[in-house]
Amino acid sequence: MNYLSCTFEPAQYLIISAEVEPLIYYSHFVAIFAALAISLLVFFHNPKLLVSKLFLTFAGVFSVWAFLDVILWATNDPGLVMFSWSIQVLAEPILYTIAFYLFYYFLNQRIPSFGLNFFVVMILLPLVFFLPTTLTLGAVELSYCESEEGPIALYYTYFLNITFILLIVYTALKGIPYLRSNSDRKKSVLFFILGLTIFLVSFTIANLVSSFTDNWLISQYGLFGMPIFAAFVAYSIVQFKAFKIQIAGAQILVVTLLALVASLLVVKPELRIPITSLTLLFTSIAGFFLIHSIQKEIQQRKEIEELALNLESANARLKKLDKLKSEFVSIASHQLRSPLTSIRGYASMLVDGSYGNIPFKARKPLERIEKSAGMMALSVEDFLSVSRIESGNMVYDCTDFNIVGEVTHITDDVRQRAIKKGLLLSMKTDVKGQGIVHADLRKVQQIIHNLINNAFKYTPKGSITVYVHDDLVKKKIYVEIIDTGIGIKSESLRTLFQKFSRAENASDVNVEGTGLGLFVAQQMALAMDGDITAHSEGLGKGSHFILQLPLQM
Amino acid sequence: MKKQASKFLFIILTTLILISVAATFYRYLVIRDYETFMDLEEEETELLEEL
Repeated sequence: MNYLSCTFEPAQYLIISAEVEPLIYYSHFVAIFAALAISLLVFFHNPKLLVSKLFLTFAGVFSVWAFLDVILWATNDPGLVMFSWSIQVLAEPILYTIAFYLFYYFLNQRIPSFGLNFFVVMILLPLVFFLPTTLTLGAVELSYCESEEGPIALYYTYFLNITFILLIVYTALKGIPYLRSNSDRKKSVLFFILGLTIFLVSFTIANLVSSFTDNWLISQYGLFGMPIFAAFVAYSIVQFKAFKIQIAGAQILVVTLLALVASLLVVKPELRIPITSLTLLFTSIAGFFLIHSIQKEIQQRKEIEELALNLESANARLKKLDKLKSEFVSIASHQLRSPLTSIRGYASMLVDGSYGNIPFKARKPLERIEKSAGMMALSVEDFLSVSRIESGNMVYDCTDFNIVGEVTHITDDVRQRAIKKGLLLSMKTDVKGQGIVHADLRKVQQIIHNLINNAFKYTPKGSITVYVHDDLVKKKIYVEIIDTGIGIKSESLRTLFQKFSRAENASDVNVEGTGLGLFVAQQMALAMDGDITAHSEGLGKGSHFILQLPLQM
Repeated sequence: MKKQASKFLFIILTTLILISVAATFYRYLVIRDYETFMDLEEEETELLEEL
């Protein structure tokens, strides 16, 4: 089919034409390259992030817009002018739409409400429906190869652009005040807004002025906002935590110098002096700030080195003090143990009648003395264990034994205690192997006693279940103590195995203790290549302790 | 539920955009249904200025 062409030479490969000034190729392809390169880098940094996908889509739509613009400059085919121009008219508001969603998601970490999404789709629909009609574009003028813009292109698209700019401003005003001041997050959001503002202002104003004055050369200057915006967004998304003004400054200086110097190859001769002057001015200012910041960094580094030396000597002093403390605890505990043994021994013998009948009135006080001395002895043992663990002197006499049998004996031993307290104590086993472990028998008994005792202490009513099972694939055996007691808060779970840590609600059941039992138990389990973990749904929902040990296969 | 509804909304919009682009392509590049004109007044003014 024959059609009239515009009155200049046809373009080669759609975009190459002698009619097009080199500056147009330069401005467009620099912007396309910057947008795509930076957005792809951000995308491949973390492809799963929605913000990375949105940014890539934004860069893609912008690149389509800019490429179509080059076609419009170069082509003499009126049909191609109409098509490219129409798609540009469509792409521009879509670009603003994506900019809005990008900013909204970046700030609020979620997509807008359904209502807002519905509003966005509704205002875009007229543009989409009327795109192939004369309401968007009218006739083509053949001497300049330009199309007449209809009301949709002339007015409705700018209404859309302004609406999205206002939505961005509204989102920013609503969301930014709630960000914590001076946080990295707030700074990265402000950085993002600065880049977005530079791009939208330059792009919008350049296109508006071009549209109304019919001087399409002006619109190309708006494209320089894109590389700046892309760089700002990349830093906001990817690097803000590691953002160093000196590195960014050096990068910006190099890129800008390259861009300015390269532009000398394509600009008209009369523009070379202004561009060279601009390059000189910019290099001087940026160079001065860079040198100043580097000097500051060197000074800070010296201060940090001094601080590090002071810290090292303070650390050495602390280690010495810690060692002395452990030795003191060990000596003190040993000194306490002997008299305690005597107190318990004699109190027990008195109660048993080894020294004859004791008055009825004296029985109860003597029993109290025996019980208190026993509790004190346990505390002293805990302190001694902690001291031995910390000084590395805890000895483990590992042998092979059947852990199922040991757990059964311990459970049977405490059954009377459970009946007395009105608790239901049960034991379940699901052991497919032989249940043999290579560990210190006394220490394992101590751990299991500790866990079961804790279950008793913190379960005023209900049941305690001891469940032993193995995993032959992982070669581990698990001893689980599950109770229906007072439960543990999630914050307390994190610190439960630390020294002197006790559940905040321990006093609810009048339980006394040093807070060292679980620390000692876990340390011993870890030393035997095992571990103890604690779980609880929360207060009042019981707790679940799991001792795991490696199986001897 | 509302997230799914938003997703559905954007899928519809994307489909309509693609249909619109295809219609525009067909109108201007296949059947070439557009008007052309020459702005002779502006050309004459330019020629006069050159003279």
